[in-house]
Amino acid sequence: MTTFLQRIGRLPRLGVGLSGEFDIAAKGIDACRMKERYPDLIHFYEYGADLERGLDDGVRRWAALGLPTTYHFLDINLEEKLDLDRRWLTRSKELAEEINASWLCGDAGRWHFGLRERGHGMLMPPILCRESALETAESILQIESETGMFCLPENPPSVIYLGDLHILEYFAMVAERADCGLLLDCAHLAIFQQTRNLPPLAGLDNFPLDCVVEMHVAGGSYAEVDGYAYIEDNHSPEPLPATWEILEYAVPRAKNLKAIVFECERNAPEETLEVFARLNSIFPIEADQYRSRY
Amino acid sequence: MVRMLFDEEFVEEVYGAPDLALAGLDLNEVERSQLLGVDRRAWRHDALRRRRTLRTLVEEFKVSTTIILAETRSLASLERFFSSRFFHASVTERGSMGLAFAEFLLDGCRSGAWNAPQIADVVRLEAAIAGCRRALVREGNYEAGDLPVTISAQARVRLAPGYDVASFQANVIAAIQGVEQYLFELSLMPAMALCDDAPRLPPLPEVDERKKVYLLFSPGESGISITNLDKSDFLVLYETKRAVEIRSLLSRLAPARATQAQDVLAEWLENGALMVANENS
Repeated sequence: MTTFLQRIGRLPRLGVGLSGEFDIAAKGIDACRMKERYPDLIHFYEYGADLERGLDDGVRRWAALGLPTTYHFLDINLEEKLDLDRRWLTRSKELAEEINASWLCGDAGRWHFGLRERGHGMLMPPILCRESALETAESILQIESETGMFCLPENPPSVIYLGDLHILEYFAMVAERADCGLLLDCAHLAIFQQTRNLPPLAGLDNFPLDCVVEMHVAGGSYAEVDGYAYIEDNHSPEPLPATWEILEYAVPRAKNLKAIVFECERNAPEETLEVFARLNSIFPIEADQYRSRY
Repeated sequence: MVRMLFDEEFVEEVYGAPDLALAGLDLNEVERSQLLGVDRRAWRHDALRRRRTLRTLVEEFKVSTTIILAETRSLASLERFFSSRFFHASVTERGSMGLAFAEFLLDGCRSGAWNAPQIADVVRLEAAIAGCRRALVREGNYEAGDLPVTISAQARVRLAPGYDVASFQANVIAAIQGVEQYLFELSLMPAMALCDDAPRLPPLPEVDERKKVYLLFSPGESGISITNLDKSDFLVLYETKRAVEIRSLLSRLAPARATQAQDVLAEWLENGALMVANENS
């Protein structure tokens, strides 16, 4: 039985990618058009999917060009093993394979309560405790075993977290128990640190950054309700300084990092170019190698 | 936590009288203090959460909710769902939120919260479609395939996943079409709802409880289809909403109708609306 650190060598270095979801081209950035106009800025497409809507024409066009993708699920409660039914496992694998996804990933929170139905209008974080981390790890082990693909849990966004663990302790526990890779969302981590009145880098010194395979960056803004201050994860074109600070600390230490996604698909392409350029300078990809592979 | 994110009244109860509000929940002292340690204002950070969720529910119950809003002129009348026992039960019992919303709407009919004569049947019809969709997802499409030459009278039959039958007042479809036409006009330019000369919901067809229509719901190319049924077919199929032994079903009918019912069963078994049920059905 090989360990994660032995298996990670199989995964390609994807570079900097763009996020998207069903029918996003009609409302935001068309990934293929963006790639055509700015071929050196975007190297892969992370498609956010749920079983109900499936794949759209945009991701199919991208995959038909032989360009790399990753499959970001939007409909499984990793913390709730009961949610991991046969239909989800089978169908998600089929969809991911159809676009030749390099791996599966997604927020390890609760996308729905009760039965899996769309439009619950929420993404809740897991309860940050040991029992929950173990259940999430069990789900990941099952997904990886039944799909044959890497499954990277992502730290989700929230203004309210319950539980006694720091979110980085929680995901370190998941990685250790499931012997899996991780997706570190730098914007979500910045939100968490703010809710706990902690500096942006708190806890990263003890975090297994060598397990981080993918990172996310997204814009946010400061907001308040009745005087209560929080960060809104609104995916605007400009990441907050705390998000950059986390990213720039983590990238050189994440020895197995393969991909960085800028989650910006609802903005105008022109508004995102500066950030894409900066991400490429932080995490460059060997252009000749990329062209020979794709 | 989900209930608190959606229901501000519940948040007030939890902070105001935690022993009462959290009674019956499996929370230890540490968990309780973590919950109460959250700044109360934080639960209100997403002002649009209920509206976003309501939008999805309204997509599935668009005619019912239009008739209700036309009557109540109050968005709060629908947002009350998130404080209702139906919503809370769907969270704590891991049920379907869409079907819980149907229960909430039906309860409003029973309690007199909405009184339009058409509303009860329209809610029942949209709830039937919602139920069929979920049965299809839960059980998958049923393919009739080749039936055995003979089926024992002891065999149990039931409607296949995604099928249902129900009876309604005769004008229910006309009422739905009237509302859909209004919604279509409004969708051309939603902001025109603000205008004095905007299209208004036309008077709906009158309800005559003595005239019935019998409908079959079935999986179609683009969702659940609705077709008219003869009363005789309806009466037989109604018995198969739950798995029933063929001989038991036939014994409940008058002898003359029993022969006819055998033909009905054979026809619907062949076209896949009915299936032979396994022991667990």
